[in-house]
Amino acid sequence: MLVVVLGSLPLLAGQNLVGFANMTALDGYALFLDGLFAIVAIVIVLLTLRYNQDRGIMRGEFYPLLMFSAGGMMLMGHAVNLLIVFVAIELLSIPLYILCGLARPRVDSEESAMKYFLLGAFASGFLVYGIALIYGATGTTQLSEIARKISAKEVPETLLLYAGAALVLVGLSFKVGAAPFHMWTPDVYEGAPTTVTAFMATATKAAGFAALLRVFLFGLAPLASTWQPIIAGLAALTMIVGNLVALSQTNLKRMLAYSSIAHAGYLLMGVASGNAAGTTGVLFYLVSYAFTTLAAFAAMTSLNTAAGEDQSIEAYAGLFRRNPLVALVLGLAMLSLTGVPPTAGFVGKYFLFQAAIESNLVWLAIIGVLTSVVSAYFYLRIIVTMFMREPVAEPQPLSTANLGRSVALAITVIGTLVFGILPAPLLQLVNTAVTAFGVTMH
Amino acid sequence: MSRELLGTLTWLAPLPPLLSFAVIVLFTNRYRQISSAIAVVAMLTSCVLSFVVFFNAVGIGNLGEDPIRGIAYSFIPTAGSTFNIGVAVDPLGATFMFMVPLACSLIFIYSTSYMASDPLYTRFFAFLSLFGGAMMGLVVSDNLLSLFVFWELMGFCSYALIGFFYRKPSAYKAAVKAFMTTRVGDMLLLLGIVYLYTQTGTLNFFDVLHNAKVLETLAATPAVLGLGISAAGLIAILIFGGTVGKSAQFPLHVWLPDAMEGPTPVSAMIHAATMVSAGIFLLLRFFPLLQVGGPDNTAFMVVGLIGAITALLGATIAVAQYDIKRVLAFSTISQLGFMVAAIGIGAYGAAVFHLLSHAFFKALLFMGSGSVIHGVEHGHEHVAHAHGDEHGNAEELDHDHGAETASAAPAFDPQDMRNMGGLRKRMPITFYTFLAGGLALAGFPFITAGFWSKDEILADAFHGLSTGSLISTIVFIVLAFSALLTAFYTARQISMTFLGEARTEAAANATESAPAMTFPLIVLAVFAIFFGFVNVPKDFPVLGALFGPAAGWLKSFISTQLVELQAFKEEAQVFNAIPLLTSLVVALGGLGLGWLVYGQKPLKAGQTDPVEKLGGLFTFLHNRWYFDELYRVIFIKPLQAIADNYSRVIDKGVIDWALEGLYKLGVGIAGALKEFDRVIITGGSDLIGNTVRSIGREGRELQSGQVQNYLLSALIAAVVLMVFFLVLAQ
Repeated sequence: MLVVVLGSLPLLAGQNLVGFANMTALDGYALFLDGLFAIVAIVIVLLTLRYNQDRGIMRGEFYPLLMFSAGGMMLMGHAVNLLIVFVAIELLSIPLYILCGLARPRVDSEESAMKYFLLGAFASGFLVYGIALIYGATGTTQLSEIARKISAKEVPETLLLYAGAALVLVGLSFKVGAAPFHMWTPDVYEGAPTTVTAFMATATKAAGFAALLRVFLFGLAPLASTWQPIIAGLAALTMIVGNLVALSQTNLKRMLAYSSIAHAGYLLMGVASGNAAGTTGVLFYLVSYAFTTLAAFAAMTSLNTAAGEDQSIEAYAGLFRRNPLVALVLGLAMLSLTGVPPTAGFVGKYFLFQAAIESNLVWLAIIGVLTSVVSAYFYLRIIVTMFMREPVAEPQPLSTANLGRSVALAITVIGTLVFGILPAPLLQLVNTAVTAFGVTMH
Repeated sequence: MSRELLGTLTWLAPLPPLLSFAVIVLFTNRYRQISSAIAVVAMLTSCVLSFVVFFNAVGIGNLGEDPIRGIAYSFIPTAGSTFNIGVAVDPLGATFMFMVPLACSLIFIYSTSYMASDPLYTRFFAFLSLFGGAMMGLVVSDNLLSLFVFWELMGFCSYALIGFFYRKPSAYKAAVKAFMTTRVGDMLLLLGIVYLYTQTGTLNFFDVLHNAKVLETLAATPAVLGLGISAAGLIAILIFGGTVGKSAQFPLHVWLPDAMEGPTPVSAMIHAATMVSAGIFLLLRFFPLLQVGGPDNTAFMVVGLIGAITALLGATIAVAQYDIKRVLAFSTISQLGFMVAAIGIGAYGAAVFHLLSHAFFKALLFMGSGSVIHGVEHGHEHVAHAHGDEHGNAEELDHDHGAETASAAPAFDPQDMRNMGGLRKRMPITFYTFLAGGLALAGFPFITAGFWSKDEILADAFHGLSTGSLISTIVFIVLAFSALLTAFYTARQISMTFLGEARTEAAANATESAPAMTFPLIVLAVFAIFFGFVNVPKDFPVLGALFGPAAGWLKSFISTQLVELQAFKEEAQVFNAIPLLTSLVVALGGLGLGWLVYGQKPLKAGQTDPVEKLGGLFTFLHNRWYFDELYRVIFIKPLQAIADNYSRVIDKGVIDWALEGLYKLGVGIAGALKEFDRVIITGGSDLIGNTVRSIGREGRELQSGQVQNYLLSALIAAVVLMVFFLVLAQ
């Protein structure tokens, strides 16, 4: 089904339609994100086929739940109305709460589901309250109307409106895992089955940013002078917290959780830039980050056997000797996350820093560069562990190679490398998407 | 063949070795034979592709103005600019596409036998492939960015291969030394690249170097910092910095002799096909930047002087070395000096010619010396077996190259020429090919490539001298003297190694190497002899007429490369007998002197080398003018002192103090937070905790307390955020 979705996208390209009482749009931006979600979901399915078998959690409901969630994400890309944004968030989140707990009766999986549910509900509360306040201030939930009314000064810029914007920002910050609303991320990521974690780290984050861009760069664009410094502050805080805390992690999954927080910071930098370059940067980075992170998680599933899930960094010592291919993929992913050329991560970061500098957020770009330097330390440590250390005395058994995982590894590695060496075609796609999106600022 | 197709082939040429690196590392690293086969086949494929391009390129008349271009792709297009990365073949690149893959292929074939007993055989071929692929990539690059990437890739490969016997301290020290020394040059090169980009907005060679307008603008712009030279001159000098590092020019020449710690095929790669040629290649590429300043401009002076000093330095040191490879290493430094000096006097064609002929005969000499070492080692082993020597035999077999591995380090040094002698009879193929290479190096008249290329440089220098150019005068005198020394030490080397009687039992029992090793020697020997005929000067007596229109082919082919500039018009040269006589005298004189001292009465076992009679001068030269010691005192010691002091004062003092302060501050804040926690959060969380507890037993096990804390701190953060929003809104 996902393949059908992916295949149908080129057919719809160039369309610009609205539907559902003007509450959803079908434009290049939405199509671009649809494509991204479809690819991520396909990779996750490929990985899960064997993973669930290995872990003894063969549960049929996994796939429909995944589809519901992916559907919610796609809806998020199409949403041009705050209500749809809310519905989409719920639609993508509720199946995820269940997916996190799929590995029951493993306690940390249940814990993960419970925490995610509690925090998610909390975030939804903020979001819906914010939407209500914005509606109260402007009398509409249609994003284009909100933008028009504010810029035409048809509605006063009341405290109500600002409070609403703040609450929406809080709600979405939870979803993308931005500091200081990130605390759930490590626990949830660590406990959830690895493939679900991969899905959350890539697709959910992308969906959150899809909403952030639509709401802030489109609907609330006239308030940019107010939210810009705040989002910039959040970005800085997120980059610093994510990278610094990741330094001291001893568990790879947990480290990647903090790394995902840090990357949310880089993405927020693109949002804070508030210009077309920033939007381009965010979309490009979402793709490069998705491929890279999927590559990392795909490699990690090879260490996941029924015997037990030890994701401590120690367990990766000498992996290069035992399975050079997987070690190389994981190594490549680490390089891309650090932002080393010729990987996609480098090109993505380059665009984000460029966008920040273009909108005079030089200080933010400097923080970004410095934290990237810090991040090299913990990413490269994984590489050192895999390539230069002797394996521990009794290494965990590796799960045998299987077709699904091999295809998934191939897709992600090709994505990470091709977009790093030949970014131009993807960039063109992104630019089409951004043009359709119609950034109205600057 | 259409140009599009040639462009595509140019794209493909560097790929096979690069792919072979990936395949060996990823898939075949456990299978020795398959890995080496892949590497050799990949390099041969690359060689065939390159030859197709080369022989087609030769037939294109206006290749200089209109090079073969591959489709360029744009890398990271941004709003204002695009950066195109592509490939191109111009006359200079074409000649390299002939020499580099040919030499690499022969070295690869040679290595299959030379390295046959090494435990890290597959790793060796992986790095060797990467090395060859990087050099090919460098040659076809049409812009400085991708050139720089391949340049650095080669730097890495040389590091990995020089330190290949990483268990041996001298090997890894040499690797680090090579890497760090070339780094100094690379830094200058990078500065040059950045400066060029800021001045022209492009790094494409053809946009800058084939464009007389851009060049003349660069020449007219004064350089930054008020250095009194033009921007073109400063960029050229900075880029030359890269050459000084990579091509081991004075004062960064110190790494090259140590680089022979790597296996011998690596030395051949570094000294002939790849590394050092890359440096000269870069300088040749940027020749128009030098040229635009006119004859005898500052940049030319710098290049010419450095080249002349290096040529002399290398030649003098080579006279007083005993290690067969070390003699060759210093001779490489000296010959590279010849090329750089040639560029410094504007003799572009002569520099290219000498580089190509040197690549062939130096690859030959290195592989020949490898064959000698191999043979002597086998002889030594043979002796050890016969005598039941106390060296563990199993160990000897494991590590064939005793001197090159750490574990078997016998007192016997198979690279020391004093341990050789009389190998002519034991290793005839090696002897005759080595002789061909040696004569080419010495510049034996008329029948060796080295004579023609060296003569060309001297002729150009003399031409400059006769027009009153200062730098040409210096270069002419220094190079003539260096050539004399070259011929002398070559005669010494050949005599000590091959002539007379064996001075050790090992040498007496040496055996000829396997065909995989001797075959490349024979091929290269043919080039060492006949390659010179591609560029016999047109007006050379007798021979020039004999070659008819083919005379001076290389020079006329290569010179279409250069842009016609107002400032620099090369006049047609007429034949002059003085430089020819000079080359004859120095080559024959040096060889004759060497023959008198070493050839006539070959050294006996235990006899002292006659050059040691030079006393203090010998010690000075033998210790390489004490450059290593000098650098240790001037650079390494002070840097270490600074580093130590830095770590004591700044690290341990200031930073630790600051960190400790931060730590204390952190503890203080944590204490305050704890209070906050106890009073507000715990208080609040008790409330929520009770609710959660009521969810049931399961719920209580969820590390109770944490979620609540998360929620509370999120709530506080949300409030803070809202306050910010409202404050900013005002």
